[in-house]
Amino acid sequence: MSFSGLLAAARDFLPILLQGVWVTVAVTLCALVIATLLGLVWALMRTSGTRWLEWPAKAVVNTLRGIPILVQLFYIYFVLPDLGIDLTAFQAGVIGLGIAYSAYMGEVFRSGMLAVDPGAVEAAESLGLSRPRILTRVILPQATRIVLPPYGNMLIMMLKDSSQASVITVAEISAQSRMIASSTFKNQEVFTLAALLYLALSVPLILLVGRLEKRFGRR
Amino acid sequence: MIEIDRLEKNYGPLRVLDGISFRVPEGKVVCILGPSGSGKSTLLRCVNGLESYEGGTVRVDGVTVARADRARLRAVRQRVSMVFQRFNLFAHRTALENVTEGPIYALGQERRAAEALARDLLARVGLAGREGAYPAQLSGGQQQRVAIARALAMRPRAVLFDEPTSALDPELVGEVLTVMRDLAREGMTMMVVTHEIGFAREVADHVVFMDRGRVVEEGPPAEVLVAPRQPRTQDFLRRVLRPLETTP
Repeated sequence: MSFSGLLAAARDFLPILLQGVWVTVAVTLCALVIATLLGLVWALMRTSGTRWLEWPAKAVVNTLRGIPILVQLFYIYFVLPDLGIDLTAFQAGVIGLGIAYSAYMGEVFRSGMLAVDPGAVEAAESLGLSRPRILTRVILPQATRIVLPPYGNMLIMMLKDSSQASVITVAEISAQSRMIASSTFKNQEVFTLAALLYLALSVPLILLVGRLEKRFGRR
Repeated sequence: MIEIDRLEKNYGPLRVLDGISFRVPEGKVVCILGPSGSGKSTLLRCVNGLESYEGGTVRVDGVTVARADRARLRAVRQRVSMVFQRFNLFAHRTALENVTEGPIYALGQERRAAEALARDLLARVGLAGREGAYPAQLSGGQQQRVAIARALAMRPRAVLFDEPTSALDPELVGEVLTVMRDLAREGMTMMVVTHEIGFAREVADHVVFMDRGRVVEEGPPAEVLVAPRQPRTQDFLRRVLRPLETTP
């Protein structure tokens, strides 16, 4: 593969691949919203101190962690229609990725909440702050700083794992590139372009997370 | 002000408080001394409702402290404030925000009034001009003084001090003790767990010596600290006052 060959391929295929980029970004961001909200729910349940909430959350998190994302996507896209729930490939991809990642997010959030200085929580208690106030005024703000770097890492992993949605026909970067490659046989050029596009998306995120780690690493 | 009556607390099979009784009258300073593990801090935490207890009663300003009753517990906590050994400041908030947190979010005061009070209190503990500093930017002594201002911002009827100088570098102990001395002089009711014998001798109205969850000896500092009757008190004071000579 020559450099000029790669440039020619870029000129020919980049318009289609860029459509894939938008789908990748959209899937990742939508799934991120679901994973964050659900993950927060799991974390709050698991740190609630109430067994009735802790146990189900733990069961869900472990189940989700124990099943490959691919299988979860198959389930949502191919099995749910049998139960009368029809989803587009995009919807299924977003929901599948979001739910799968909520388990990991939940664990990240939980560890962040457990790492909050118990002395500060005790001080808030002794001031007479209510439980919800302690959560919103002390625990969550402190946990956020702790959690930001691992959260950023999760985002990078989600970006790359969004490629798994290609198997349920979501037309993101890797799906588009495979389609082009199989019709043009320019495997090298096309997949190199795909890799470069992923790097263009993920390297800025990696650098950002690095900066966050530096900033919040020490308290 | 604070009445402790036959207080008992267990950690599993271990009895950490074994029938403690004494009272802290309004406007008085009671210092609690004793070896580590004698239950001093636990006792203080029971008064503030941070720990539950199995027997006896703790009453603050006529209100019985019970962890089960949340509304009443908050009433108690708004009457007595606590200063911790490790300061326990909110690391993500400035000195000023640490002090206004309780008044605004527990007492529901106006932000402007709470901030004015906080500035006054920070000035009183010698921290005028440091309102915007985060705890990490302050020395241990300064952090503890912020914590004292935070406790006072609740306009408490009494303040509990849990070894307030034990986590400080020796040269920073004085500035915190000075603030506490001024507070005592102004008539604040105080219950102080401390190893600072000099402070207790000078400031305390009453000294309680505890060991193994019991009150071994109590009385005016001139008696308990200068001429203790119990062998265990004598032994403890000898160790604290001359640590080098008693180390083998």
